[in-house]
Amino acid sequence: MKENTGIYIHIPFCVRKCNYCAFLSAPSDERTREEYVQSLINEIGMRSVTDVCDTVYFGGGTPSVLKPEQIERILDSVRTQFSISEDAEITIEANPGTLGDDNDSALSTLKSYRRMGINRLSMGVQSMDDDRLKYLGRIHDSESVKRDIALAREAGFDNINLDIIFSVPGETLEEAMEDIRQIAELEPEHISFYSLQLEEGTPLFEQWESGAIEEVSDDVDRETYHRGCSMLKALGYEQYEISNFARMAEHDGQHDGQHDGQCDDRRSRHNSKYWSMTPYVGIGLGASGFEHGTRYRNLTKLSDYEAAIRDGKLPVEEEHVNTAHDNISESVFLGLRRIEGVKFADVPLEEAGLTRDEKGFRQYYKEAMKDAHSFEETGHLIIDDEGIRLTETGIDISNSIMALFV
Amino acid sequence: MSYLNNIRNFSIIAHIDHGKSTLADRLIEKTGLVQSRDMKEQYLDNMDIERERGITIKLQTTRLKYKANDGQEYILNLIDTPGHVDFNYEVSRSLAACDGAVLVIDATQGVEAQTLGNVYLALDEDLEILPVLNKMDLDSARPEEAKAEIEDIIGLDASEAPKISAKTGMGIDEMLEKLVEVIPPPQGDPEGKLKALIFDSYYDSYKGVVIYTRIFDGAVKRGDIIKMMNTGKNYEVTEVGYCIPGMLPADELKAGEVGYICGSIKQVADARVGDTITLANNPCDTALKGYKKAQSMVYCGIFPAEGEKYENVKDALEKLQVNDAAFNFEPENSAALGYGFRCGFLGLLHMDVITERLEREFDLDVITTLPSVIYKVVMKDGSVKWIQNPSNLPDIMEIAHIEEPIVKADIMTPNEYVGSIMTLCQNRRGKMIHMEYLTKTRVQLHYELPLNEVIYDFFDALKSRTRGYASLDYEFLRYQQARLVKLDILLNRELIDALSTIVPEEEANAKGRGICEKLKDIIPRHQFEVPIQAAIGQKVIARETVRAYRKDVLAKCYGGDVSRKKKLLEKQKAGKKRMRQFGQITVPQEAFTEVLKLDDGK
Repeated sequence: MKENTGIYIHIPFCVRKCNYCAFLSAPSDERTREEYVQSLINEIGMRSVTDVCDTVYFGGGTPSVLKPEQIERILDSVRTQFSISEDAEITIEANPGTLGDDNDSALSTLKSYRRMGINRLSMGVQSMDDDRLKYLGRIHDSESVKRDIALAREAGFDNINLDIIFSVPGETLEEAMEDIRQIAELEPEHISFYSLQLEEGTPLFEQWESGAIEEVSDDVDRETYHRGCSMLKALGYEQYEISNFARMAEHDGQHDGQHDGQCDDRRSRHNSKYWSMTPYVGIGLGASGFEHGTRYRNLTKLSDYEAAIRDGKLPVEEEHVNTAHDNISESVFLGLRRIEGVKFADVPLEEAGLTRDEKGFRQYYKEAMKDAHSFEETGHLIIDDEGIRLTETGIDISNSIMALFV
Repeated sequence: MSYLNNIRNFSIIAHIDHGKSTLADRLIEKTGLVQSRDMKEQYLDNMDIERERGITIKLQTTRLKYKANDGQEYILNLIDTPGHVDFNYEVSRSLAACDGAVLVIDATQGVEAQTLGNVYLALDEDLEILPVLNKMDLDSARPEEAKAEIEDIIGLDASEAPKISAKTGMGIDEMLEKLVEVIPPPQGDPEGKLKALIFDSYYDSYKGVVIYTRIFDGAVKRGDIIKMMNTGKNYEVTEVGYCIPGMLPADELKAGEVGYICGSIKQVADARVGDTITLANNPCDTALKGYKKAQSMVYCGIFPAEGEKYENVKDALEKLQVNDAAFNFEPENSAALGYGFRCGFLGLLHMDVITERLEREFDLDVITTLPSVIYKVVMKDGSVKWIQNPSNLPDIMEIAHIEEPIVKADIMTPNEYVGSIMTLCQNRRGKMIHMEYLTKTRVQLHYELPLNEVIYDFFDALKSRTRGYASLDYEFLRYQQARLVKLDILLNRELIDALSTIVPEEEANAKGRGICEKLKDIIPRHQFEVPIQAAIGQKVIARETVRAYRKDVLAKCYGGDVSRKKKLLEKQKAGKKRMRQFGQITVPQEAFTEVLKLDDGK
C-alpha cells in the first residue's frame, strides 16, 4: 500500500527557551514572526508534491505563539499548494499558557484552530510538579495545564497528546510515577513519555558539566521508564513506539459498521511516517524532509533562510540522495523504534537485488545477524519469520542493536 | 692525485632535536642537486611519521658537491643517521660507512646524554669528529658554556668549532671548509677485489630491493654478478648510481664512493643490512668487520584485527623487514587473538613506528599486545629457556629461577631534578651506581634498571618530571636473577593470554589492582556484568566489575531528523570496529597496549 505524504512546518519561536531545549527556537518580536510567516508561505509556494498529503504538523518551538490568523494563512497556502485529504490529521504543538491571556481568549484561539481544520493538539506539559516545571524553565504551572485542556475539550478537540518528561535531575522514581498518574488523569488520547537528554549548549547541560547537578542514574532512568510504560499500559494506553502511547480502537471495530476500528486509533499518523520511510515535506527553518528518496534539511540560520526565500531559492542546506543501503538500513533502524518492529517485507531489499523476505534480509545482513542472534540470546531482540523487534529490555540498549544495521 | 682526495663521507650526529635534520636540509640546499624550491622541509626525514615526530628513523643518504676555497670541487656524501636511542644500531651502520662525523650540539642546551652515546659510537668506528655549535641565532645560545662542556665532558677540542645556525644558514660555508679540512678522504683500492658495505636498503616496487652501499675496495657496475657474503646468494646488478637523494644512474661505483645498487633482488631477507657485497667470480677474502646482528630488546605480538587478513599483515611485515635489519618477526598463535606474529624491536619507539606504519602505509588494522622483554628462565633440570611471550612461561614448579635483562641507564639532567628522577628510578626498581656533576648545574646519574621497567613509559615519565630537560641513554648490561611471577588477566572468567604479563612478585598485587582498574575504564559496558580478575596461578589477587549497560537509547527522533540519528548510529558502529570480540566480551584494541601504562603516582 502506498502511503500518503506528510507535511512538517517548523515554527522556531517560543516565549522563552527552556533549560533543556536544544531545538531551533528562540523568543521573537511580532515583526520577526510576521516576516517568518510570509517566508513560510513563500516556501510552501516553491514546494511541490503530487501525492495526496494526509498529515500536517506544526512543530516548534511553540507554534501557538503565532496568532491564529497567521496559522490560518499558512494552512491556507498549504491547502492551495498541496492536495490535502479530507480526513487529514492536522496537528499543532501548543504550550500551556501560550493560548491566550485569559480563558476567553484561550478558548477563542482553540476554537479558531478547530475552525481552520486543526484536529489534533499536542501539549508540552512535561510535568505536573510546579517546582520541576520551574526547574525546567517552563512558563506554565499545573493549574494552567488543567485549564487549557478543559478549554480544548470545550472547543471540540478529541485528539490530544501530552508530553511527559522524566529523569529530570533530582527527580525520584516516585515523583516520576506521580507525574504520569496526574497527566493520565487529564485523559489525553495520546502520551509521549520520554527521558530528558542533556543536550550540549543548554543551561542544564552546562550545569551538569560544571558539576552543579547530577544526571539521574541509568538504573533509575530505566526503572522509571519500565514502570512508567507498565502504568500507562494499565491505564489503557497502548505503546506503539519507544516513547509513544495511544488509545486504540476501544470498540474493537465491532461497535458499528460505519467505522472500521481505525477511527479510534489515536496513534500519531504524522510521526508514524518517520518510522516507516514514508515521504514527508519539511518546511521552515531547519526542517527535515524526505521526498523522492532524498533526505534534506533546510537552512538553520534565520537570516540565511529568509535570504534564500527572498532570492526565490529553496532554502535547503543539505541534501542526500539515499542509496539502496540507506533505504534498507533506515527502514530497519527506524522500524525498530516501533513496538511491532520491522517486518522483512517492509525492507526495500529489492533495491539490493534481493527478495523482500527473511531470506533476502539474512543474506543482506549476514554479518549483523550474527550479533543480532547474540542479542536474541540475551533477550534483547526477538527474531521470527516475519521480522525483528526489540524487547522491553532491548529498548534500553536500542542504539547498540540499531547500530548493527546501519 | 687520486679522485679519493676529493671525496668526503660523513654523518651528522646529534642528540634528538639538536637540529641535525635542519642542518642536512641546509647542506642539501647549498650544495645539493635538488633545487631549493623542490625541497620539502627536512628533506631527509621522508616518512610522514618522521616529520610529525621530528625524528629520523629511516636512513637516507645524499651526494653533495662543494667547491672549496682551495678551488677544488669535493663530493660530499652525507649519510643521515637516526636520532633516537632505540636506533643506535642503525647509527652504527651508517657510521661504519663514513670517515668522519659532524657532531651537532645545540648551543642553547649543551651536551646531552645521546650526544655522548653517539660520540662513543663514532669513536668505535675510528671516525674523525668535527664539533659544530648550532642554533647560534637564538638569544639563549651559550657557545662558550657549550664549548666547555664539549671539552670537559667529551674531551674533544672545541676551540675552533664552527658556530652556525642551520635554520638561518649562518656559518654553513665556514663549516663546509672545516669539514673538508678535518674529515679525511676515504682510503681504498679501485683496482682491488670488490668489498662494499650494505648500510641500508629498501624495497622499491619497480626495481626490487635498492641497496645503499659504501664501496671500500674495487668497483661494481651493471651486469656484474655480486655475492652477498653472509647469505651467500648471487645477483646480477641491473643498475648502480648515486643518491642525490633521488636515484641518479651511473656507469659504476668505485672504492670510496657511496651510492646505490639494484639487482632484481626479490627476496627481501636476502639484502641483509650490514652484509658485505663482493663479486661472485672474484670475491674478496674476508667480509667487513663490525657487523653485529641487531639485537631485539622488546617483543610484542601483532595480530590482524577483526576482519583483517593474516596474509596481508605477513606481507607488510616482510616489506618492513627489508628496510629494517633490527626488526624481526615469527608466526605466533594466541588463544585470545588467533594467528599473528611475535615481533622483536629495538625499543618502544621502534615498536610504535612499526605498528603505526602498518596502519598508515599498509592501511592495516592490527592489534598489538603488551610489550615484553626476553626473560631467561633456568629450569630445575638445568636447561635454559628464553621467553619473550609471558604466556609461554613454563609451569612455576619446574622453574629454578628467572632472570631479567638489566640495562645501564645514563640520565643527564639539570641538578634541580635529581630528586624526582631518583624517586622515579627507585619506583622502577633502579639501582644507582653513581652520580657525577659534569658541570656546576648538570648532573649525570648512572643507574642499573630492569629493561622491563624502562620499556613501558619511563621516557614519558622522565620527561614530564623534568619538564623535558632530562635525557636518557641506555644499553644492555646483563641478565640478573629476580623474583618474578606471571600475572594473568581473566575477563568474564576467561583467561586472556594476550594480557598476561611478568611482574616482580612484590609488586604483583599493586600491578594487578592497577590493571583491573584500568581495564574497567577501557572496557565498555555490556548487556551483562563483566568481572575483571587478576590472578597469579589459581589465586585471584584483584577484581573489578564492569557494570551492565542499562541505557543506550535515544528518546526522540527529532522532528524527523533521521540523518542526525543515523550519524550517531554510524559513529557507534565505527567505534565497534576498533574492538575485539572475546566470546561475548568486546574489548577495545587499546586495552592491549594501554593497560600497563600505570601512572607512577598510583
